[in-house]
Amino acid sequence: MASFADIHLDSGIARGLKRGDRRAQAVAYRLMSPTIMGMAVRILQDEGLAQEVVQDTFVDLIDKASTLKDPDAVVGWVRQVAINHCYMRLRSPWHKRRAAEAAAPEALDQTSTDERQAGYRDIERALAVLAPETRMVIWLHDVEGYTHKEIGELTGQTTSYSKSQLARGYAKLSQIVQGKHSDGAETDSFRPACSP
Amino acid sequence: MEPKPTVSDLLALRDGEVDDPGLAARVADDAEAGQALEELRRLKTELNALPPVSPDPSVWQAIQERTGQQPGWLQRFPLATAATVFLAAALTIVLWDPTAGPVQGPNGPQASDPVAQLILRSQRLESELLTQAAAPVPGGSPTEQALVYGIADVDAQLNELYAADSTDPEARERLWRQRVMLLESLADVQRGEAVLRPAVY
Repeated sequence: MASFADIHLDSGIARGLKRGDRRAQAVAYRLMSPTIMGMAVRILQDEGLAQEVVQDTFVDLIDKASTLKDPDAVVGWVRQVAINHCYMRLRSPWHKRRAAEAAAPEALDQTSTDERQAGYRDIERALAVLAPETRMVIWLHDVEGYTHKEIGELTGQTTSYSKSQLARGYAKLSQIVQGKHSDGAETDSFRPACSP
Repeated sequence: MEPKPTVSDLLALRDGEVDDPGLAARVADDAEAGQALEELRRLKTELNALPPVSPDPSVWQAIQERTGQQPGWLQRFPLATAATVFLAAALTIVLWDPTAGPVQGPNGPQASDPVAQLILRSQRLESELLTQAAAPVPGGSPTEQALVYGIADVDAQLNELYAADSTDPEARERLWRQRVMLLESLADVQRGEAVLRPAVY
């Protein structure tokens, strides 16, 4: 599992973070960095950018931990900061240009960067073909448990936007995983089972 | 005839967010829709089963450097470190050539390097901005958006410069200075002081 909900940060570690204790920082990093990295690499589809997200998130945590009012809320705070760092990179025109270049159907034929999860390759590769914003909505809703309202607030869009992105994303994911991807069209329907 | 359920309908049913009370019955009566619903459940399970990914070990090292912490070896061997620093200082005095130009160490620019100072200033500003607002405000003012896009464009130019292994110090300094100015303007705007600093090109 790669969700923040699975991370349990001992309250002693959280208090240590607040004090600026180096050992606590190292333990927090060991516990949380793989989840941040997992989320970032799947949303951004770029390991270099994902590592930047991990780095920036922990620099923020170390710099600001002393100001956290509730040490027990550290994991939630880290999740929010990491998501914001991902979102900031998604919004960058530079990333948008790169994503547009990479979002061709032939991306399906590419091997995942280092084949890190051979057993998960289908869903990993299918995610890579989706639009970055769609990936983010799917991940936030289905893995991190965000509501459509929360996603709408985060992205400055409406609840309907989030629902629509989720539906389009799943329609496409399903086609890709079943080997039906052909024209890159995104619709809110399964073909031919259900109509829009 | 009832309309066939859409993916949105099936997702709402899967996630318990149904507004239409008759939807579950319609899906139960429709074998294809039921199959599609099962597929959506399976995909969600697969997504949640994706394993975490460990970042490269250099990430933790970079975090320590950015937060001004000493590497572990410095804490473990303070005496050896002091001796090394002393030796380096002595060698610098012996070998120093006052007529030579600025020297760049193997691990990057020195603190007195204007580019290094600009990079540090840029990192601090960015860190301050991101943790204050936690992110650029979605759908922020046109000024904020223009500044964020300006920063991204400077980043793109920096990326190109570094990717091309350009050793043009003036170009680097100009771009880093521009980045710092844009970040400072963004910080001003977010603090409510809508003061646009003059861009440096």
